[in-house]
Amino acid sequence: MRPNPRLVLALLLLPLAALAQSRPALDPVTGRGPEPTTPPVVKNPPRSWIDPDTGHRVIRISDEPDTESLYFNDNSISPDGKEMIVTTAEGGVDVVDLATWANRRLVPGRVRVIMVGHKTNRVFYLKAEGGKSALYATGLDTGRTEKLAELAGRGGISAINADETLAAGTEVLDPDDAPRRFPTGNGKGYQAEDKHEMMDRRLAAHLLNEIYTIDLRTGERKSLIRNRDWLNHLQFSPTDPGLLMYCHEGPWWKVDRIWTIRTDGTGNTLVQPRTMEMEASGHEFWSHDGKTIWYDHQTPWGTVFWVSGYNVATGERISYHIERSEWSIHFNQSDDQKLFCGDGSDNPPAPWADAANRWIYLFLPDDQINGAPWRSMHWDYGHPVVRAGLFHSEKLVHLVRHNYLLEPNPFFTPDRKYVIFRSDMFGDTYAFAVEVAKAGPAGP
Amino acid sequence: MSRRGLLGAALAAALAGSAAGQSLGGVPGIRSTAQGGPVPLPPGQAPPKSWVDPDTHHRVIRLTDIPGSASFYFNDNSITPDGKEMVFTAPGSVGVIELGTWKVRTLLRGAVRPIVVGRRTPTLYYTRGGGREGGPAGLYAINIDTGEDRRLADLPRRGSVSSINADETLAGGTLTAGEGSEYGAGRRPGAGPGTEPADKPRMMDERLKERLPMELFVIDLASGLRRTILRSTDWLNHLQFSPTDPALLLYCHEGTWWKVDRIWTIRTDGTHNTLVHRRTMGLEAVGHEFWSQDGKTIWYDDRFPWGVDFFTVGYNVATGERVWYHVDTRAWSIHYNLSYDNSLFCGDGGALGPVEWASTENQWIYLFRPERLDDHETLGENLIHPGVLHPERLVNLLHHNYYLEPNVFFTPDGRYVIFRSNLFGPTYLFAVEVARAGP
Repeated sequence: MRPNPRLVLALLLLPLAALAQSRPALDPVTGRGPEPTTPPVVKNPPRSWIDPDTGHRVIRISDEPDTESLYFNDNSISPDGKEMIVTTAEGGVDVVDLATWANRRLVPGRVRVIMVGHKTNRVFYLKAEGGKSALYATGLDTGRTEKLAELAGRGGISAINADETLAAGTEVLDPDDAPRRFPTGNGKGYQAEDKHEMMDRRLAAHLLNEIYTIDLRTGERKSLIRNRDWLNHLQFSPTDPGLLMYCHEGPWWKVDRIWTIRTDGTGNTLVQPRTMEMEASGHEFWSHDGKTIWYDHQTPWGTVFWVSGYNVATGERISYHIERSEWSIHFNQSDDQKLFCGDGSDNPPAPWADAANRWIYLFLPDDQINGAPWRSMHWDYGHPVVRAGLFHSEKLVHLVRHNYLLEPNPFFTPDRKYVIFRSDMFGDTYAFAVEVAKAGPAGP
Repeated sequence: MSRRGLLGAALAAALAGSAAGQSLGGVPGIRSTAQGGPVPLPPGQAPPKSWVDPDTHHRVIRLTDIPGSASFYFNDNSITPDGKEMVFTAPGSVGVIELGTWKVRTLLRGAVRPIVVGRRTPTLYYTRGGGREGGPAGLYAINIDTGEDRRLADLPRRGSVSSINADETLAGGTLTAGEGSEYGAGRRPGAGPGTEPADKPRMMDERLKERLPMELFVIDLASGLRRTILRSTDWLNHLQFSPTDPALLLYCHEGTWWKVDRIWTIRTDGTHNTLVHRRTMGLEAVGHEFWSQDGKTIWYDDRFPWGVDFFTVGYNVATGERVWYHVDTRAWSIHYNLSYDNSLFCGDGGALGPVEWASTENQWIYLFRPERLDDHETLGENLIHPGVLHPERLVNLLHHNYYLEPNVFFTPDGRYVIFRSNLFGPTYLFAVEVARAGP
């Protein structure tokens, strides 16, 4: 029988409907909430305001409609911490000054942005050239563009390592690659509503694929892993040039998702072994210091929520418990590791979420569990255990008007004064910054 | 609005639409949440014999008129094998209640310490004597039907017996060797009989640190001979024989729950000493373990971690399979129990004070409907089966002082949940109907 993950979630939601009266009517078959709609277009939307529900100042930081901040775990901030890139409606790159929020064009035309380097102030991107693609870098300060490599075959590049000596990408090697086509939404950053079905189909195809690296000094391509797991989401360590995180893509409970491997092919390691049916991990990201991999962790899926961390050097683990109403599609962490943020959710896309989740969140991690002093967190359990903690939350932005098929993808600025996110609250998509510090009391 | 607020609003809204609260307003001490909640019983007013809880619409029956009477601890069997009678304690006596008719009679008088009712015969096992009475304390058995009373064995010095096996051939107990100071030696008196001391956590911690040498023993009930099956400096406690396998004993390492590997099984020949739950999280704590009536599963509360998230976990002793039912913090209970047909759970709630994460939201007797969550081709082997316990409130215990733990269990026919409560001041035992009395 073909499993229907929405059905199990519909069952999950039934008892909750009795508890929470504010929940919108759910489709009894799919468990889905009302179809999301994109808010009406506002011309010349405001530059700045104080959210009346949170008391935090929100700033629109991109000038033009459909300029977007990057995916939550793709670095978009220059190593000197002064600038950030956004993608434009045409598919090019703009630079935003983090002090003045001034926008300027950096890369015109249509390119596919990978990330900003961790070492030099450069943006790396792919550009189509005569049916093939090539890897380019453009200096944020200099505007100078270099062609770094030409790609053979159908592979892409999705990560650049810490010292910018290696690029990594994936390529499907099976000749029949029909199932790999994976359109997302309407092409403007919205998730497709049948994403789950497409994911299932692609996973079941078990296509031969590989992760490879390209040496940016010599141009040499090297195969790192080749198998029939669905290899995806490459993220080099931001500090260790020889360490790559990647995932087995697919519905999160059907795969052992998060892995690390050294660029010499050794040390292939599963980050979160599973102990429970429907246990799910995903939306993994690196801490800024490269010491910890963080991820959304559900035990089981849709029921109990954690943000879990794995220290890649020591293997130590910590899990921060999070309330269902504060669960977010993506979490992120400030560069100093003191704060987390989340982008909230709704149903769809998350059948266990509802209108109560429609916020940009700030989280203060508490690994002393409300500070009860008589507890010894370091009691000897006879074997390694996961440290436990919880998140204290503060709401930053109420996303009353936002189509959650566009995922806000939050991240902190390096000084952690702002959380950056994207939203279609004004119809067109823009990048926004919300101040972490409160501007004043929340309104009525 | 917080989730707590939503819950309260939902309940208030549900009640505002009915006149149930008003129509039942004549029962002294009983008032619905919509009307402001239960009120203390006026002085000199006799507590009601029976009422329909205006918040839950379940009928509650007070089973005795004896102030200070109480049902057994939640996992000590008090019901006869034919399912017709239940033993209870009262000040200076032990009584029997006929289930369904609730007719009460006295079984025993004097200072006795009931252990359990047998699984095979209508026998109450108990201990008496020792201490100031002089001579060794004895293990006794009294036939609940005939009143025939026998002394079965002497108890060892500093020893106690706390469980009888499935075919009533063995008693299980523990003793402390040497002269070390036992738990509760410096205890401050609690609020009343059966109540937990306010400084229980400190006392538990101090006893745990002592690491007194202990023995786990069995007494052959035919010969009275005692045999040691385990020696340990862990604090051995809460012996519970399997209700079906005469040679299988559940016991625990007592102490502050996150500082011990608590739940163990051992065979009565001393082999197969097995840790039931290996913790994976700091401050993870398991306890209040009990057997399913079919002897297949050990159930327990898993605080994952302490004070933050809660599962009711089942461990199949034959296969090692595990199921974790998630429980919402707002319905978390000190003790859970399971119906004889394994279809329903019950819980006794909790309150701030004895339980730091509880609130007035938890002050209810609960019924729980277990739901196993479907598995959609999860990758992996020997995985825990997840589920959810869906709560239904049975009795409002807003006026219960939770330093007395209600200790819930089902009657064998699944029609009632039995508990003890001081909601009218003195402690009585109660039954609440599992089926609703009305809308």
